Amino acid sequence: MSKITPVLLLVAAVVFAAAPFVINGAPPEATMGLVQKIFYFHFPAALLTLLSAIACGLASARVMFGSASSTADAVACAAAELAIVFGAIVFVTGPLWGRRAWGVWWQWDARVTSTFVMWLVFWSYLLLRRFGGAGSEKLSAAVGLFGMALAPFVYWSVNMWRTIHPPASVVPKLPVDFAIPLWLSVAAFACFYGALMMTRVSLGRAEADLNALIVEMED
Amino acid sequence: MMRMPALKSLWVWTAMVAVTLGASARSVLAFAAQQTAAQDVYVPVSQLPQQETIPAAPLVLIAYAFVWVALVAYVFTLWRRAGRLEREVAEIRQTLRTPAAR
Repeated sequence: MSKITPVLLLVAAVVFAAAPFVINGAPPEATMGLVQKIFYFHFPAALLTLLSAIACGLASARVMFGSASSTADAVACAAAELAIVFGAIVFVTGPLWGRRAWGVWWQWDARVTSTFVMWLVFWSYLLLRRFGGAGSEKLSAAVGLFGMALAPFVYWSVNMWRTIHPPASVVPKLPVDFAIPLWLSVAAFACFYGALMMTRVSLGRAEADLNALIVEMED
Repeated sequence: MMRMPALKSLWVWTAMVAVTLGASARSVLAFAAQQTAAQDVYVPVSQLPQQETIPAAPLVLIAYAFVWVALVAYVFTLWRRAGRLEREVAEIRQTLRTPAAR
C-alpha cells in the first residue's frame, strides 16, 4: 500500500463525515425540492466515471503503443473497475432523482444513453480481461481506448443534442449555497477514489509479479 | 478450456447490447406515437390528470445508502483479492521450502 493512501482515506473520512451536515444545510432547490440533494453524490460519481474512462484510455494507449509495463496495465484495469463502480452509482442515483424530477425512472436521452454505452464498453473491457485468456491485455487495451473515445461525447452530449438532462453549464453557475456542499462532496469522493485507485493498482502489480514468478518457476 | 468462458462472456455482451437496442427502439416508437397523438388532439390543461405525488425523502435515502453499499462492496472485493494473493504467496513460499523444490 502506498504511503499516501492512508492520508487520502483519512481526508476522505473527515470530509465524508462533514458532508451530510453541509448538504443538509444547503437550501432545497426551487423546483425539485429535497430530491435535488441526490445531486451532491450523483455529480461527483459521474465526474469520476469520466475521469476513470480517460485514465483507462491513456493507460491502455501506453499498453498498446508503449513499452511493456505492468503499471500501465494495472492502471488501465483499475480505472476500468472504478468506471464500473462509480458508473453503477450514477445509474442508481440518477433514476432515483429522475423519478421525481422528470416523472420517469429512465429516459433514453443523449447524456443518459451515451453514458450507459460507455459503461457497457468498460464492462466488455473487464469481461475480456477475465475470460480473454493469454494476450487479452492488448485486445482489452483497444476496448479501453474506445471507452475513452466516448468520454467527450458523454460530456458534450447535452450541448450537441436536445436532452432533458441538465446541461454542463449548470455547475459553474451554481449559487454559493449549492456550490460549497457540491465541491466538498467532490473532494471527499476524489480522495476516496485516489485511495481506491492506488490500492487497486498496487494489487494489480502484485498479481502480475506473482504470475510472472510462477511462470518463471514452472520454466 | 478458455473457449467456454469466452463464449459465455460473448453471450452476456450480446444480451446486453440486444436489451439496449430493444429499449432504444421501443423508446423511439413511443416518442413517435406521442408526436402523432399531440398533433391529432388538443387537450385543455384543466383535463390533465393530477400529477402524482412522489415523496422525495425515501429516494434521497436510497440513493445515499446505495453509494455506501457500492463503495463498501468494492472495498470488500479488494480485501478478498489481497487475501487470495497473500495465500498464493504463502503457498509458493511453502513449495520453495520443501527439499524437492530445491
